[in-house]
Amino acid sequence: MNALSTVLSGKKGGLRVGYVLVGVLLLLALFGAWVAPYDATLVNLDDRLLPASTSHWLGTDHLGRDVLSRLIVGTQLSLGSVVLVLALVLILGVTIGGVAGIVGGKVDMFLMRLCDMFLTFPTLVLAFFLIALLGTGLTNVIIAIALSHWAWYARMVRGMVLAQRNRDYVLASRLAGASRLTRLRQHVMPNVVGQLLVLASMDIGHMMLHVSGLSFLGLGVSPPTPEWGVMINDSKEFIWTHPQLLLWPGLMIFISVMAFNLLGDALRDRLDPSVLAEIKE
Amino acid sequence: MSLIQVRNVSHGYTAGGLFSKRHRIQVLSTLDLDLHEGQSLGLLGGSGSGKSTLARLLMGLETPDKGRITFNGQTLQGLDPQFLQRVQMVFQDALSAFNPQRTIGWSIAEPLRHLSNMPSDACKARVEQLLVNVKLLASDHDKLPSQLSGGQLQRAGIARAMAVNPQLIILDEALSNLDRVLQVQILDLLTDVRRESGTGFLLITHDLSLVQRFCQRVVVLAEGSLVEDREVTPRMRFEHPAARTLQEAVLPAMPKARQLQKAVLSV
Repeated sequence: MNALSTVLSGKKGGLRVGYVLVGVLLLLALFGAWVAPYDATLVNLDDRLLPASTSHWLGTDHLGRDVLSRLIVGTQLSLGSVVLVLALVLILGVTIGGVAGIVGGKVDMFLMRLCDMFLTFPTLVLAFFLIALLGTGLTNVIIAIALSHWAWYARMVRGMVLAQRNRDYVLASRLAGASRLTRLRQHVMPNVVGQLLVLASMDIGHMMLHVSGLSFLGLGVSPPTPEWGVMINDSKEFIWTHPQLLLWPGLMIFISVMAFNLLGDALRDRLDPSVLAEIKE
Repeated sequence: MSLIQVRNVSHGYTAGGLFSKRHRIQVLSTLDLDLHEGQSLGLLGGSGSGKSTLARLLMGLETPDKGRITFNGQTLQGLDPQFLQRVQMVFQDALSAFNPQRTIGWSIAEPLRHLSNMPSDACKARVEQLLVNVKLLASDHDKLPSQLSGGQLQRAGIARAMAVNPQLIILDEALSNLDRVLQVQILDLLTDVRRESGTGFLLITHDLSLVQRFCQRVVVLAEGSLVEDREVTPRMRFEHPAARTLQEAVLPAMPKARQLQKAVLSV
């Protein structure tokens, strides 16, 4: 109750919850295999569909595998794939958007039309199309999601670079004798990266839903491997008899999406200097 | 000896695009101006008279379509470091002239880092000295722009322009956003700077009273050319209509009751 009220009333409580949740998720992703009480892929048909008990805290699934262990071990794949997607998207987006914004002219024109081509399709449709081309599997899902999202980032980065370039302080830096590269490095890019990190952390949740969604459809991770989307897919036949099998992985996705959104808020507050000044005082 | 000579300069921009006919807007036409060393010159003009365009040309941010601008006898070609060591500029909007992520000290030291080869501890000492010179505290060195007020930031902007000891500082509407008290304080500060270091100033404004307080010479820009050029005296009168408008816009020091109202009261 106390924690809830700080989340609802104060910004700072929200930040702390965000940090803690993301921290726990990262720890689980890194050390999950050691923390998990059972082997996540161990099939035991004698113990199938057990309810929660002291030996299996969250019960077992239709093949008798421990749900808690699968959730914990699954964190690595669910989070890891999102981090990879995000890294790819940021690299592509920053490079292409940055070049378009900085060089301008014909190069800008060409790159932006390329972006427009990618932006004309809804991301999910584009992702399906790319998976159809590349084949199923987690690597291909990651590539497909990255390729269907980079154009948004390229557009945003280009806009931010253009906005930053015309700021008075960049002009002042030019009058102070700073070279083009120095101006980019010291004034344009730090301000772009700050805004971008905030957007990206807000987008982690969205990407996570994408990866899990594609895994749910059977396009990503293949069944025996623990992953939250796959777990939901596996247990959809038991939605009426054992709804908790869908509830737990769903809850994990919900919690991590929320955690990253809170982190995004926190980052925005840290990286937006006007708010920063208020906190310091 | 004139520091900057402007001869026969014409400049304009192309406006319009996709939905309107492209047309040329002539901002300056055959303009001549001499800026003397150590002098403070007021450049007056109404909105859209080409004041800022002239400032950008003088600063080398744009090259004129026609005519020639020479600095110490050499034609101005872009922004070379030697020129920037001698001419600096203060911007109109102080808040946007400072990078919000960098400290005030870092920003003020920027010209020192790029235009001089001063070691970093000497830079810091110089910045602190500059801060004190513009009546800020040496401890403001580590503050962020958002922690200072508009007037303080504008003074920090002046400190940045003074950092490399230039021969000329261009104040492009740099006082327009401040209130009267701050304007007067900053002008007095700049007067001291001029006396001590012999720095010249170009004060671009539409407010004649600031010019009268600070400048020795005033020119008035209207419709792209200079219509007045005279010494500043307490009783000077402009002749050109555009200049008269600017002169009449200045409020008197003390409000006077209208003649009519006086007559009514005396009855």
